[in-house]
Amino acid sequence: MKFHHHPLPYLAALTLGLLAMPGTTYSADEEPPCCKEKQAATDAEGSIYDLDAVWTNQHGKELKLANLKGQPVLLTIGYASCQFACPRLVADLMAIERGLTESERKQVAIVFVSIDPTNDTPEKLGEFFKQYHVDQSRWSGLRGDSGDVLELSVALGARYRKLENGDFAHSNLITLIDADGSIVHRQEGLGIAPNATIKALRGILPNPTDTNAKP
Amino acid sequence: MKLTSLVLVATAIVAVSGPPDDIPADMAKVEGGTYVPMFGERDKPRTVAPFLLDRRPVTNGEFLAFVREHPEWKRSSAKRLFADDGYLSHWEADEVLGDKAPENAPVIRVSWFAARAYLKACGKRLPREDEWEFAALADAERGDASKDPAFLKKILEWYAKPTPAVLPSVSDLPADLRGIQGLHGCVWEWVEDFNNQMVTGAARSDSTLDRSLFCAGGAVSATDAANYAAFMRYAFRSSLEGNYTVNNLGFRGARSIP
Repeated sequence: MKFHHHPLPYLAALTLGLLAMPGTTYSADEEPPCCKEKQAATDAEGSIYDLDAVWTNQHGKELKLANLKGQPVLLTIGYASCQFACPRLVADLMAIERGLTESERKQVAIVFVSIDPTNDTPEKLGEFFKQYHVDQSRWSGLRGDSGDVLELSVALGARYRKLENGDFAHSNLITLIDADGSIVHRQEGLGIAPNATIKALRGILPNPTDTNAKP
Repeated sequence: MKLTSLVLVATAIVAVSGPPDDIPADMAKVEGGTYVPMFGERDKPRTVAPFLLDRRPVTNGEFLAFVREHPEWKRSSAKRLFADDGYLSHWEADEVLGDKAPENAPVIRVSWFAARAYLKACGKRLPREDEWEFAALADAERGDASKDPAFLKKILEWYAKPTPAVLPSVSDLPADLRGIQGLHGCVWEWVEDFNNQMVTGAARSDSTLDRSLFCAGGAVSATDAANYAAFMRYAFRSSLEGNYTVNNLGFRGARSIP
């Protein structure tokens, strides 16, 4: 909650997050063979982090999605003035968060990409987040070029269309990507029980000791 | 309502004039206008601003030149998230076209991502669905032939025919009154916003679902039930994902007019 009044630069927060998670970064030499194989597979398959668009977050800070590398990310598309679906999508993301322990939560980033870059300024996305009291040190509201929004949406398999009245019809899709940007799970629909996504998330946490400790 | 729509479509005038100097020789200007699309909140006419459209679909030879410049788009290098296993699979090798892919035939088995990368490299973009559909209303004599059953029948007959194993040269494709060739009659084409129909997954997945597209009675609620050909195009597009490659799906470039 402190972060609302103390807008820590996004990357600094990310770096701190990484420091708090020993074992998540390897140099090429240290990398175990299993990871090298996985890396080769990721290279052939491609990853969300191959998209090199530059985005602006709710703090006005520029970043590429690849800056989020190294941690699981929950991604969704929507727009701040959305009256129906997006508040519920945010609620669904928060339900996933609530199902995690505090130390698990700290290892996950949440990204809300605006499909309405004309209206969703960083300020507006920040206000949107404040409305729901989300932890803005881990939640990013991204605004980008409309072509880049389309590209990311297509890569996620999400669909949307601007309606005549200025609203958007859009997929209600929460995508879980792993530390390398590979899509590992999709939660489709609104008001979906978070269990399956939480399970998938626990499978890819960089530091899952907390769950192991539980009976 | 229906009558108003018809009048508006009828008044979607297509002006044709000699190409001014600022139009590249390989493109034609499509004057803007309004048209009534098939689905969605589509009882209202939509306005299409003037734009430039390639006269011909992109060919194997042109795409090969691009692949040589951009090796990341070689068949063996392209990543699966951006081009599936069928990508350029009719080519003989990474940089060899072979018998099934004549140099001057439209390139097919290209993903939306690959098409976009190609066009970005030549300062163009994919046409938007509205632009493509608006341009494709034309036949050789009329800017809007879509009310002519013979025109629609011809398109449907083409859809019913299997795609030939080897496609013809783009220079042999029929031209419309603007000199744009092969919008109908050879291959289907990618549009920028192919993902604008909410039909993925379960009904609960999407905020708005165009049930009209796929329910049996859907065609009745479509704006123009007679235009089954357009119906098929919307249905086809909504079945695509960005990395899909299809043996009769190619693309051409467009450009906005500043």
